[in-house]
Amino acid sequence: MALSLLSPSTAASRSWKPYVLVVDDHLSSLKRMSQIIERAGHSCVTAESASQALTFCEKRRPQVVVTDLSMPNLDGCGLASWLSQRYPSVPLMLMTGQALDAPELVVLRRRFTEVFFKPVDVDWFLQCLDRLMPSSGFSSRS
Amino acid sequence: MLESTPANELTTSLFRIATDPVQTESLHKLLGAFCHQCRNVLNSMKLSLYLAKREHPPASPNFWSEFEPGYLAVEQFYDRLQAICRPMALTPIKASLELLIDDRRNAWVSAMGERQRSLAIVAPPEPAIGQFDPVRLGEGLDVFIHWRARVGPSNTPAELSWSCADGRFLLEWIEQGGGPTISSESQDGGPAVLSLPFLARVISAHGGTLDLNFTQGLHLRIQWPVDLPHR
Repeated sequence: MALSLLSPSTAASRSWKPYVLVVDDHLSSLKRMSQIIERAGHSCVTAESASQALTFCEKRRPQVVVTDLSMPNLDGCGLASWLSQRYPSVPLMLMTGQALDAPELVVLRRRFTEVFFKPVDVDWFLQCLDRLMPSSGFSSRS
Repeated sequence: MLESTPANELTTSLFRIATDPVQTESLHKLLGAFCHQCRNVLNSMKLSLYLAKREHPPASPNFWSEFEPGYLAVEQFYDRLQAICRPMALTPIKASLELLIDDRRNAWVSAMGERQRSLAIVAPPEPAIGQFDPVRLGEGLDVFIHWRARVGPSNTPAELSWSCADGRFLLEWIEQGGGPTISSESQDGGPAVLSLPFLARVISAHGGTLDLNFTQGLHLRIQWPVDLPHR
């Protein structure tokens, strides 16, 4: 199921399955991450910016949000603040290419369910995602 | 003193930067955006590799296992480069340095032994107790000693000793003979090139100094205060 980069209305109307919203302004990473999530058996919607992600969320609430930290205009923390107020039960996962100091990491781990450093450990990422997503009823990986 | 190779020039330049907080801060700002872009590209490569491994059978049974070390070396290179070129926050504890060294003793001796080199680890008569970040310092010593095990002259012994006096730790690494060989092996620019600058960065973060002398073999002296300054 490829919901990636469709308009919000199209993406939201394609399926009512619980979906993962991935937000990253690095398009190549975004596309690969979407493919990996879909091959693991989950529906996925991609957003190239935090503002696009907000639009998607307004249309239909995601089951899990995976966001990059550094993005122009509204960054991953700003997006998380908004989502936490609007959808406090939605788990937020962070990906970042920044080298973070321990105190910075402590702050981010309070705000996000999981923090992943780029390049992301895919096996660990999918394990965490599987825990947060409802069972799809079939084995996600061979 | 050192062979003039691109790898050695990178090592010495980064060594100077890693021990100078002003330069580190300046370089951090300059490299911040660049490293972020590099990590995004690396991330995309890693995700593509994952998909390729999952969807395409290997050309030979060992294809992926032979490919992975190369990829991991690139990832490690970025980790080290970022660690060197930015302020390093420590999480210090007060402990005996012996605890840190004892954990790694066998691995270090074994690494040296692979090239028929012996390593004498000489503990002080009294435990050397003070503050240090066990993760950062352990990592710094690990990369330095594994690097020396790989690039130092084979069949030459080395000695690691440490002590604590006048409010400072002193840790020494002495290699006999063989002359200066920082790196002729690591001209590929792999993470080994960054071993010495990385250790220098760790020691600088501890408020210490690192001195190298190549007059007869290699003599490394590391000192840092047992009570770390508050930052």
